[in-house]
Amino acid sequence: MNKTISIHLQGTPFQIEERAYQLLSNYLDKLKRILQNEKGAEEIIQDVELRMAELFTKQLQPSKKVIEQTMVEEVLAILGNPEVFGEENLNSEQESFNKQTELIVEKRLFRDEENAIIGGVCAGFANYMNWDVTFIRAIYICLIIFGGFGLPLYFVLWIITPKAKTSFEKLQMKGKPVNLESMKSEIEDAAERIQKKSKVWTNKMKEENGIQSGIKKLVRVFSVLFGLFTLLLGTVLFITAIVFLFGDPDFIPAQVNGEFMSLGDFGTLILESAVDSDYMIWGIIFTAISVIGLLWMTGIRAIFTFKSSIIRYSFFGLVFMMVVGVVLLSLTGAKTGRAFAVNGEIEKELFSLDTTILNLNFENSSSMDKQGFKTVSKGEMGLIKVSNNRIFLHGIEIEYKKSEDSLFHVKHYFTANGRDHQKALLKAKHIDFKTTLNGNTIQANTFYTFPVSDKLRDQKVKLIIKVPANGQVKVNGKIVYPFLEDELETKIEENSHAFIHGDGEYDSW
Amino acid sequence: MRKGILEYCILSILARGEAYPSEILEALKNAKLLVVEGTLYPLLTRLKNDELLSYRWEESNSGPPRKYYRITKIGSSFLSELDITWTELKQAVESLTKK
Repeated sequence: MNKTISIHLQGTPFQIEERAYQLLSNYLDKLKRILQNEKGAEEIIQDVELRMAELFTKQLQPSKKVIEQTMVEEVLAILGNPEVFGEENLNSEQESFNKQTELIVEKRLFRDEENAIIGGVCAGFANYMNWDVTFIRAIYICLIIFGGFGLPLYFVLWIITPKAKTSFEKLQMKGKPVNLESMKSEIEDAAERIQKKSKVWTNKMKEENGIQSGIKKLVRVFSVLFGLFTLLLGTVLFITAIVFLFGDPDFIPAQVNGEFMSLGDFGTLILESAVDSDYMIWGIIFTAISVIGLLWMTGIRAIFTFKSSIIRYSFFGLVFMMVVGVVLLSLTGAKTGRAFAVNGEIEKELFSLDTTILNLNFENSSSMDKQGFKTVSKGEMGLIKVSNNRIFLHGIEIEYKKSEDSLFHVKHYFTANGRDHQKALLKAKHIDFKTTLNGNTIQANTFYTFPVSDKLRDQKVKLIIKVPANGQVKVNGKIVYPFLEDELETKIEENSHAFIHGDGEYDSW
Repeated sequence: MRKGILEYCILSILARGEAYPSEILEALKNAKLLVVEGTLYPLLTRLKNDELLSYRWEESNSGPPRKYYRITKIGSSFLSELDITWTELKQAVESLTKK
């Protein structure tokens, strides 16, 4: 009769003979003692106990319910002596490889990638010269900074120097004699590396993850900044659009007296019909909404990284809207463009004068206010005034020609654009430009008018003055033609051009 | 030296799929790489602590619960590193022993 003890190995219950228990207990105690300095000792013991439980379970049969001493001995033999597997080095394995079969090899230059920072060129060179690698690197950095050829040299060496791949090559690189002993130490080094590198490798992987997450964080910061920027841009555009579309502010600096015009008003002066105006407005609305929406969505996507089908559908919706808006705008543009297709010109002889001096007096009545102050600023080309259903434009062109006879001939010459020649001519004819003759003085306005219904169609007014030989032209009392020799180095041209600005200022070229 | 190779072998075995210690032992014994079983456990724990391996528990019908080991991502990359080292080692030894 033997006494039995109830034990459990990692949760599996067993009945075990007392002597067998002693044996098992001693074994585990010994194992614990040996492993006490080992990290994860408890886990190793747990694994061993699990294995024991497994082996015991296999051994026990329905007829045999108690673990006996022989069974424990058997299991312990399978598991092995704790002294053997608990310790790192298996000294019994050591054999003497001391018979030196030396093979002196020529030292060769290899790249040492194991100690590399970039390509292992410096490390390899250090091996070859048997110098300290830090020293070589310092020289190299000096070469790069001061010499300039250090960098290309590095890349050339990187390309032409082979990498030390095999253990044999590594020994060649270090100039160690290749024999069994050195090979063995190299191989043992390699084996040790396998053991030790696992930890290093783990750390390296963690570091790499660290770098990656650092980059990710940086990318994130940039994408949030980008998102905020696009959101802000979108909001600014949104406010601008709201102000323009609903406030209809007068912002186009179109009027001579410093007043401004709204986009809608300006549109009606150019666009053929009210429908075009609607097209333009809707085109602008669609384009604005889609651009603003896309900016906002890009911003939201950049800041909050989430994916949603709503976002995708609204993206396509906005792109579609943008297409519609752009199409509307292009249609309006094309239609308006067509209305400028043909140029019509008319001219009319106004006066013929027999005189040597022709006076031209330009008066800008529109810029005279009630108190008699005169606007001094230049009325720039393209400035528009709308009054009494007529458009007022400023600036008259003058062209001088040589008269065929002894008389001054003054013509006015109107041009306008239209969808076809007839329309263009009609628009040109609608231009009203006042000139009056008083002795040898022509009184003229610096502006001309035409009906609002004609729209802005590049209407222009030109005075063509044919000057006889020895004839002189004075504008507002100053001789302007012929040009003074010192004013113009070249000889006077057959034709010359001048421009009277809205405020009566005279420019010639 | 042999231990490094054992680790290499364990990683290789687990690279084929997860296994619990008895299966790993079986494979190592068949290859005559292991004399005593006990050697395996410190290695497994060390590899696990180095995050080259991970494990999960699974109940077993025929005995105690089993610890199924599996190779981690880090383990896989390390293994491919070891493959290279091993190939180099083999070439080196062959270049010397052939003659």
